[in-house]
Amino acid sequence: MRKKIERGIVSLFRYVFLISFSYVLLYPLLYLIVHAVQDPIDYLDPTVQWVSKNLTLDNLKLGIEVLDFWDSLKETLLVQIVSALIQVVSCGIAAYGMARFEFKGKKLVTGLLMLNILVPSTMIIIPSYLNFRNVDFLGILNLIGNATGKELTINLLNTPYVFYLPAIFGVGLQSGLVIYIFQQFFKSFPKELEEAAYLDGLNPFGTFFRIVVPSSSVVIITTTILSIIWHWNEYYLPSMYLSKDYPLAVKIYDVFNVFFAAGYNKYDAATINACMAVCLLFLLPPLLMYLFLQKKFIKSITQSGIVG
Amino acid sequence: MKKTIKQKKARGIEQVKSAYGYKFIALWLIGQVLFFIGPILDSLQYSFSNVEMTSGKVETMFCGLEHYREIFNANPLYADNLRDAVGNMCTSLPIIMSLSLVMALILNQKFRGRLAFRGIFFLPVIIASGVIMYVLQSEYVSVPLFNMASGTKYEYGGMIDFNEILRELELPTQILKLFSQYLSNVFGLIWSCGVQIILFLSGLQSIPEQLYEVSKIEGATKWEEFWYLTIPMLKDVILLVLVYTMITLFTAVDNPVIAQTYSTMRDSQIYDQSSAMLWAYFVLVGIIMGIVLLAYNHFCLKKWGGES
Repeated sequence: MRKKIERGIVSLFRYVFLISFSYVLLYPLLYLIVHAVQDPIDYLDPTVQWVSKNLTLDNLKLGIEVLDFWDSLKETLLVQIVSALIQVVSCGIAAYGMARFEFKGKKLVTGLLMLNILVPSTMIIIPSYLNFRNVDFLGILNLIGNATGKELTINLLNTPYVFYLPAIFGVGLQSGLVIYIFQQFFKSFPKELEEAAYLDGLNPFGTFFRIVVPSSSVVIITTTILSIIWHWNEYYLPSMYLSKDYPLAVKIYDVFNVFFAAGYNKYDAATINACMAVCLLFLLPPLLMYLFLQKKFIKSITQSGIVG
Repeated sequence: MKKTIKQKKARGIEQVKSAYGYKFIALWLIGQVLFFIGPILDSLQYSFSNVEMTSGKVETMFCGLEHYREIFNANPLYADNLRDAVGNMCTSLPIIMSLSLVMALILNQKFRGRLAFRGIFFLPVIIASGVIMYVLQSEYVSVPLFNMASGTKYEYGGMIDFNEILRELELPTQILKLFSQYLSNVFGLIWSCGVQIILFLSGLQSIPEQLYEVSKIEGATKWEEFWYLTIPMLKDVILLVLVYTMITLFTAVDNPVIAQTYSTMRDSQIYDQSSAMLWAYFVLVGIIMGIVLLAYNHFCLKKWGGES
């Protein structure tokens, strides 16, 4: 009897704790949902808190129109999401090399990887910006340019290559972390499979693509989802490198000023409701992806051996 | 004679394998030189020189420690921001660590609705990008939870006025201040626990079930089990979470130092001084992380018999 009461109290506490934290975590989402479909009249009505009296989709229409939502979405998909996918491939290859092979200077490589994770992007953003502005292969173009008196360096700013190139070389957004996750997985991957493949005459590249990749779906799912989410939400680098064709995250980050530039009052109820509507729309794709893949995602993240 | 041939062959295979290692990471290494080490060295150079931009070209003139002297002596905000960044880390780190450990412990138990709660607790990983948070924290929207304890912006502060309760307690003002600071940050703190919970959870799941059975048979209480079994088994994960949390706190975009350098860089376009700011900060962060890691190694790992 006493044990039963004890257990009841424990589970009561557990649920109180969990529900109060869930409230905090779900709060902004609920706030967005409520205000996204709310008539602006209700925003000013003090009797309306959570349940709106008048529902409308006009906010959404207004928001999509002011933000050029579909164009930005296209930019985001073509530039950010594509580089997210490229990044997963390049990081996976590099991580396999680091996890499986012994070579001189491996400690140095590991240290470099740690630096990758550690150094904030603020530190390298200005030199990178200038590099992308005058792309020059080790100063060769500049030398020829000086000799002939012509400007030969290439300006890559405002092109998608600013994001593609680092992704191809595995130094894109949060690449260090992606490589780290891959590495931890590959280290725990059974060696026997690969040795069998070597005996059958496959070279390491063949082994990697034919044997290792097909059996590491868990870690690939994890890194792909994380990479896509990071790129979807990234506003810092795009706002530096681009001056037009912004991806969605940049516009959402500055959403009130976008409305202001389009001639709307920032403090207007209609503006605020419209902003909430586009914010919700911005959250929807990652949220849907998450809801559909939730079980797999949680399972893969807890199993992928992020912790070695 | 035969022996030497064999040895040679063995070395040959090792060499071939290490060559493949280099091949796997070749692209990554090139990327590191082009997009990571290069920019870092550039930024180090900027911090010691006067930088002038003329039509996109950079001119640097070496000027020694001038900028470093300037930011500490002439800049009124920098030293304060440094102090705030470090102080913020010192107060947030223990809370985030313990909070996420407790949540992971709870989520690891078996109870009804576990999957749903896990889903909710992973939400921050999906949407804690800062974009939406930034919008919701801006001055145009009044989200009650965000202004819970500040109470300056809006008259109603969520459902419960925590400031009022604190005042009723009649604590000394210093402690009161600390409490209300924590309360106003509660939202952000809970939101920054997402990845840490995942890491702890995967660590908890890698502890073999048998150990718990043994400790039960030996008659250990839950409390002893936690301190003598769970925590020592988690020592690697704790280290990982410690480092990860420190990095995210130090490099977050809303970190006062990072925000200041960003605005000097982007709005005022002063590249040399902002580089100096970042490097001074980076050295400080390195020292602090070194101290924390040494302390962790010395006190905790020794106690738990860690060999790493």
